[in-house]
Amino acid sequence: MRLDAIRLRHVRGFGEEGVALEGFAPGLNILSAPNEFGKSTLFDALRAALFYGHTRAPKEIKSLEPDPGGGAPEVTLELTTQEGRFRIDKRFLRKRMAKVTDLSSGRVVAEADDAERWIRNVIGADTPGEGPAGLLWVEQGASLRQPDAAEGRGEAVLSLLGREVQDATDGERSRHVLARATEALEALVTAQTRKPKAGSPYARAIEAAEALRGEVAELKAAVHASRSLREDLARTEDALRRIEDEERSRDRAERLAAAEARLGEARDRRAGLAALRIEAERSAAFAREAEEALSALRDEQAAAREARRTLGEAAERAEAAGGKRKEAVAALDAARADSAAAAGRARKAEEALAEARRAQQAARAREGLERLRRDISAAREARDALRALGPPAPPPDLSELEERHTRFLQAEARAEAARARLIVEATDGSLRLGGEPLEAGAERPLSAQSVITAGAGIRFRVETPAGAAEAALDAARAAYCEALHAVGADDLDGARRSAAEARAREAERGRLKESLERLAPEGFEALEDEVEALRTLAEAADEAPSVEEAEADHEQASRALHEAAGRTEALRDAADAAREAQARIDGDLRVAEARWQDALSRLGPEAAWPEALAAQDARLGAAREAAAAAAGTLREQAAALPDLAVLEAEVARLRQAVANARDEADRLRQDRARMTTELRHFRAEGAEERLAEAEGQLEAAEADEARYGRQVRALILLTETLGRAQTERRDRFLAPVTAELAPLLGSVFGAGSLVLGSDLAPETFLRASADEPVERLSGGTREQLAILTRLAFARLMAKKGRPMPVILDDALVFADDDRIARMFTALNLAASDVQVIALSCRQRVFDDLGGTRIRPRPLNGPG
Amino acid sequence: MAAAGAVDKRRLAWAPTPVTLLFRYSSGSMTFRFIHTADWQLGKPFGRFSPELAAQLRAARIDAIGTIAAAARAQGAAHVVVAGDVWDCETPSDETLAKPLDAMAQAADVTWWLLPGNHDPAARHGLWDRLRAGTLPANIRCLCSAEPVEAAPGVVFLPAPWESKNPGRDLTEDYARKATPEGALRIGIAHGGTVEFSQDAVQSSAIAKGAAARGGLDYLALGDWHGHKRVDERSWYAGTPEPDRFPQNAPGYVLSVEVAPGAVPVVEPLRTARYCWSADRLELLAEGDPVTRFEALHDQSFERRYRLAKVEVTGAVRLEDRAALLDHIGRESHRYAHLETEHSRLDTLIEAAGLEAMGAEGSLRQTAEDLHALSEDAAADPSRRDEAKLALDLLMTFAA
Repeated sequence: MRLDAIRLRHVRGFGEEGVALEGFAPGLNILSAPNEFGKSTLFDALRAALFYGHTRAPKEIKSLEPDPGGGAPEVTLELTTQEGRFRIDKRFLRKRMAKVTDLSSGRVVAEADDAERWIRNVIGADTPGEGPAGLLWVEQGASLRQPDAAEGRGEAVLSLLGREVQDATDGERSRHVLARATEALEALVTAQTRKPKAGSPYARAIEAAEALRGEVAELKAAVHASRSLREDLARTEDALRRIEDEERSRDRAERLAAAEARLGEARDRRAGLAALRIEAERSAAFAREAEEALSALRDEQAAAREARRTLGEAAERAEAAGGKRKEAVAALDAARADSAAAAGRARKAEEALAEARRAQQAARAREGLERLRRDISAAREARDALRALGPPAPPPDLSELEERHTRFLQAEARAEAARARLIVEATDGSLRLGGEPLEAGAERPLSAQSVITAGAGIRFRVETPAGAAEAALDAARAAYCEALHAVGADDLDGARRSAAEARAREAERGRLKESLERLAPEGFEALEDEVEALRTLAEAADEAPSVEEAEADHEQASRALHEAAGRTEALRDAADAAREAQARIDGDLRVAEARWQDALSRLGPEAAWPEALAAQDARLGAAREAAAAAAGTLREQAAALPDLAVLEAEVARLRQAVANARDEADRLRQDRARMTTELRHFRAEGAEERLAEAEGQLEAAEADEARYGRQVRALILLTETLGRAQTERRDRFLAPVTAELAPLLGSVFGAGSLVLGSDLAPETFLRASADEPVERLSGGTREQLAILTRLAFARLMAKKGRPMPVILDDALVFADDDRIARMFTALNLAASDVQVIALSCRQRVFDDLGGTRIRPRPLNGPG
Repeated sequence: MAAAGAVDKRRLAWAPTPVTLLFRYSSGSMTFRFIHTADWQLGKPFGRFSPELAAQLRAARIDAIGTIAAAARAQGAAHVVVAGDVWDCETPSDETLAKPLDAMAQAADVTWWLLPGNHDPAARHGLWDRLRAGTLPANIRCLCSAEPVEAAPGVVFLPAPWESKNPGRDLTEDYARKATPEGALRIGIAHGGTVEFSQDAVQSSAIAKGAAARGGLDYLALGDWHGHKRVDERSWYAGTPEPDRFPQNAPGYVLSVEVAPGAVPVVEPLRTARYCWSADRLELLAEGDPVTRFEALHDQSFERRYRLAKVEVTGAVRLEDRAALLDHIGRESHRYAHLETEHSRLDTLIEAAGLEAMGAEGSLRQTAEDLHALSEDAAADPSRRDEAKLALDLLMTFAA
């Protein structure tokens, strides 16, 4: 097929006026127009005319409308096929029509659906993107898309490639088989890892087998548990039956009753034995009491005899003690008399000593009286001197006076400095200032009014105006005088003297006060009282012995008294001891007498004591015999008593056995009830049946699993084998395409070849430098390879008698200047066999393309 | 073709019907006729099959009771002896236990004598205790004790019940010690393989040869072997009345037994099966139509919906014939209750004509040749060769 003309009306921007593109050459055609001209509209309209039935209204058709409610889109194509030249007229959406007219005869070849079929036969497809057009046409913005033969796009090419039609048929059928095998495989396993696919029958079979294995294991356990439970239940029932066996129960009860009877009898006998034991113990107690009574009687008689002996001894000792006491009392009385005499002597010595001490005191008092009288005299002198000093007067405070005097002197110095000075340079000796003679060389300050005389008759009165220094001097002087007046002095020295005198008086006053304080601290009356007291003391007689002698006598008398008192005291202790000894012996005597009397009262006359002792000894013998008899009876009875502990243990054992049997029976009944319930539960579950069923299901599931596994492996083997075969064949039958492509590649890239995939899409670009996957190439190279491949396909189709135009809508957008020139050459090269229609907005660039320029014109304008 | 569940009338046609006298006396002796069956294995789940088929197979085993009752009536037998494995397991569900009882109770004119076998031993608290604990229909007798029981005047059954899964001895040994009234017919009922055909020669519970003679039995009714089989002139296996597996014996029968004092028992197998289980090998040759050969395997005595078939296809077949056969089997499988085929040992002959369908020289042709070569490669792993055969089958299917 070759396109000769396109005419549009009511198609988007072309509207009523429409557009006509005519005069397409068999080779290269170029429609170069600016953006917004409507190149894509031309492309879309061409596709609409060829691939969309006129009765359809998909969005691709609706998009052709100029405006809503505008005219119905009309497309007219003129084309040349091997059968001749034809025109296709189509109108869409409203007043729809399709018509094919043979231009050589003007005959309408087909209309309506027949027209669509006619078109489909020519194009080889009825859907955009399919058929050769889908393979060869490049719409705007799709220049990078590589051609591919998927979904039948390459059918027309493939049908031309093989040496025989059969080859092409096999290719499609082979792809179909491979697709089915792949589909079957991927329905079972994943495409990449070949693992069972989730949700697939294979996965379900594996999952089912796995689940059933688990279920079988659980059911086996349940069946085992059920069987064990039944066995346990049987054992439990057997045990219960043994326990509940009447004969055994009766035997057990009888044995218990007999044991209990034996135990009762033994207990009765043990009670009788207790009475015997009490009797034996009582007899033994009687014997012990008799023995004790005999022993007590003997002891008592011995004690009585001892008391009698003690009484005699006590009487003897009492008599001796009485003598000793009398001797002691006499010695004491003598000592007391000695002591009284010594005391008299001591009193006298003490009195003499006191007298001597009083005489000594009087002498000392007289000395003190004399000294005191001197002190009183001195004190009175001091008091008189104090009175003579008058009242105390503090020395005047001269600090103010001193300060004012200082200020006066300072003012005077400043006034002196400020005064005019009289300097005598030469004098005849008569010169006087204020009457003071002045010598040559004298220098004097002049006061405010100074009188200078020089000899007789010469008198100068010098007056100087009063200055500030003089005023200050007057003020200082006045203050100074006022201070002098305040202290009552005429000048500073006088004031200073008065102050010194005042301080001397105050010092004297202090000294006198201190002396007075020392001599009469408590006043003169106290001194007078002391004088009076001393005077009294001093009045003692003078004829007294000396104190030393008196003290010696006194000490001697005191020592004698002390010794006498010591002796008296010792004798008093001896007398007291004698009295206490006599009292004690008297007590012993009374006690011995009491005991003896008591023994006699209890034991009777001593002559009857042996007889009483013999009688008690006889009672003891009788009691011992009775106790021995009772003990013998007890031993005999005890020896004959059965072992009660053994009997009690036997009874306890048998009772426990009965209780145990009862408890065991209860437990077994509970176990039986529990196991019966559990068994009922197991039966309800039907585990054994379910196990057999699950085992059967597992067998089937595992068979399925194995079958699917085998099928998967077979499918993999099939797809791999078939894929290999397809690759080999593809490489073989794509050789013609490769041959067509070689010169085109050479014109653009100099050298290189392309490896095409089974879908005819370029896969690898083989160059001298390297083999590169097409998808990794730059955008420009990919675009150029895509176009060259299409041109190669188109050349092959043309050579096989199935020409089809290549339409490129703004295809070369990524090529640089050099490469685009080479591509232009390649397009021209291809155009020698193939009709190429290039649509471009790049007008200047495409000026170099060559080929035939297609110039659009209004449809109704001049042709 | 026999109707499912019905007694094969042709085989029963010879029976003296109606038999109103169960005991025929002749020259002072009597004749006792009864039905001998075994291995009902009620409740067998058939889990490896689809749930629907499994349910049908389970139901068929219960329905067999009615068929057996009909056979008994037809034979004039008032007693049916089931020689063990009445149920498939020790602890069937209540439903599995009850439904067959109801079916037996329905045949009120027949007394059912049920013997515990190795599948359903009379273990304590097992199904037999449950039966006794419930209300057992009057015409059902459980032979749970190894004590002689008078089945009819002058006829004594000597049961040898299994009381556990492994009794550990030949239970028929006791027969010689079991006394019966003078002149009474002694009919032993036992379960277990005989030493003769037991694969395990030292099987402790196997029944020794000559058990009937040693036990002084007039007849020994045996169970366990699922096909009917004569052991000796007085000892028979009845087999299961409804097949349950693919054995190469003769399942699906009961035995009509006539016993008379001093006489060799007269035993007649009666077909009772509803389902036919068959296991066949189809040996193919290059010549001949494999589809026709396959069709000839299964006669028309059973509708295919009642046939469970297992077919192993071996030999060699041309590629196109192989595809045709597999296609045919695929389509035919829907007519069967169950059909499984094994053709891994079926070799494929590749001839030029056989590959025509793959094209003259296309990739499909190349693939078929490669796969066939692999399947024939003696050096290749057998499983790999098997996969190559299956891959070739799949190729043929996809390319068809």
